[in-house]
Amino acid sequence: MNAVKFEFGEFVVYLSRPISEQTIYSHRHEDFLSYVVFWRKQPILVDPGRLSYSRQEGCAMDVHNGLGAIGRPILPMYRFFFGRRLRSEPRRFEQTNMADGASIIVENKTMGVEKRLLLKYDSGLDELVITEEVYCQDAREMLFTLNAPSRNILAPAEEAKAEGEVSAPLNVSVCGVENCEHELKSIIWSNEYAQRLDGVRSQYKTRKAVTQFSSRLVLSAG
Amino acid sequence: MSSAHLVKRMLKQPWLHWDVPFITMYSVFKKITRRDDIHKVDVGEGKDVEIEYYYFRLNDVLILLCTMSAAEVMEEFFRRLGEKRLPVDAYTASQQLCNLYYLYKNLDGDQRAEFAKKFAGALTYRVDYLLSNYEFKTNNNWFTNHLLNNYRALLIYREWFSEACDSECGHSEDRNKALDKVVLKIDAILYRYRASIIYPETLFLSEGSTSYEVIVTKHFFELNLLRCTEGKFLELVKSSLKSHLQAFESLYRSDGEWLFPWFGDQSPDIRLGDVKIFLSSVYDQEKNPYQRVWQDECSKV
Repeated sequence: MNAVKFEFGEFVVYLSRPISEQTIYSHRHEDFLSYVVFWRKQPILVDPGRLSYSRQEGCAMDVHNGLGAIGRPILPMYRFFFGRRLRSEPRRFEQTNMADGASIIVENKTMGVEKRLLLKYDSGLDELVITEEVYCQDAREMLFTLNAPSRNILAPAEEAKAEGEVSAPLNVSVCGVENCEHELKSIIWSNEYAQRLDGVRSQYKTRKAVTQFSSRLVLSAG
Repeated sequence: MSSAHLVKRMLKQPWLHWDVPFITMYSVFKKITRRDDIHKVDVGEGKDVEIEYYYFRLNDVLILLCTMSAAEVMEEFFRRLGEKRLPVDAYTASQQLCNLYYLYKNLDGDQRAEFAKKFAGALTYRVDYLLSNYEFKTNNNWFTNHLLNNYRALLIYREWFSEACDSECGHSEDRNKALDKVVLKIDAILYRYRASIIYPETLFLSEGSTSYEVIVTKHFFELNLLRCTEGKFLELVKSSLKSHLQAFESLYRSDGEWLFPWFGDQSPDIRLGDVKIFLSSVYDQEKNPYQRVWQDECSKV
């Protein structure tokens, strides 16, 4: 399966996990361990999708939800596969499911990158926390990206109010990215081929290259 | 300017943009020399070739059948195939064959006779094309879901269309023999390369795309309903489909609601409306055009 599903209270989280060592050609993007979140069956964090096959936009790691090292995707789209050995380069993938969450570790030695992702749900607070850590062999700028179908999910409440939007009933906060450059911009995303939908992208980029970085996303109801 | 910059700049040229990674010089050669690559078709400035082909492939058949009568859809498709001057490739031929079959099953007796008259030539042309151009290595180095689609189309044609069309075209025996041979050959290829097409012990397409997972689940659902039982791959599909449909539902459905994350590429050949029609027919037994296509077979299985 290309996706793993987790259900916590009213949250449904899908993680992209296109692991198949035998696959030669594919329709995957650089979205390994990126996530899509539904809350009360509504999309809260979305995959940007693909608007056209004639352009490459929407495929790169830096537009998918989650933390990553720029230029070092865990599973790059374009690799020069000259043999089965390189194609099936072992990528350590360990998934541990717990009662209130899950932990996933993935490593790609060819790319020199390791990612740890922890999902933790607090049923008392109705709060989902997604913690990510990325370790890179060479220093890289790190990028944390979130795509939402509407501005009021990611924009600060004051900003959303100023623009006349109703603030979201779900609180989304990001920690650990205080010294990063932040950009909030309107995007077009798609949930079917070439269908254009308005959305918003929030991106945090480290000011300098680092070898490890972590982020914490908190989604809480009420 | 350094040589690294020059190489980088050269790789940005549009003619060097690859839609698939390549593995060997042979693949590069095939990529360049492939004659039926729709991405080489000029559809006009600012137009998307996949959208032009969506209508030419008659992919909107189920959506149209929800709003128009089957006879009107037949007229519309006859007009489309007659007026569109887009070249047919193997994938397009497969989609057209299957979509015409959906239409055929939504027609009543008299209309079916008219359908045979109108489309017999178009159908046999497409089958003949598929028989010699199915998408495996010599025709397309990207063969996974494409070859599966060719296989589905040929099997569907063999089971339902052959009688109607051969009575018009008059060379049934040769084509039927070729069909039997090619279908078994594709089945053997799919079985041999199954590890690169589907995840082990499931029928989930291993191409990293949710949208293609849905479209291929539809292919498998249809293959399971066919009378034909020859071939190891078909056997594998028939024996695994029930558990696959259960796994598919538990992955993408929560409290009766379908939630799709749409990771990876989105197939231009299936829209949200088609997905809804397909899923509500299979999982909720809703009476819709897709259910009408397969109702006889479903009642037997």
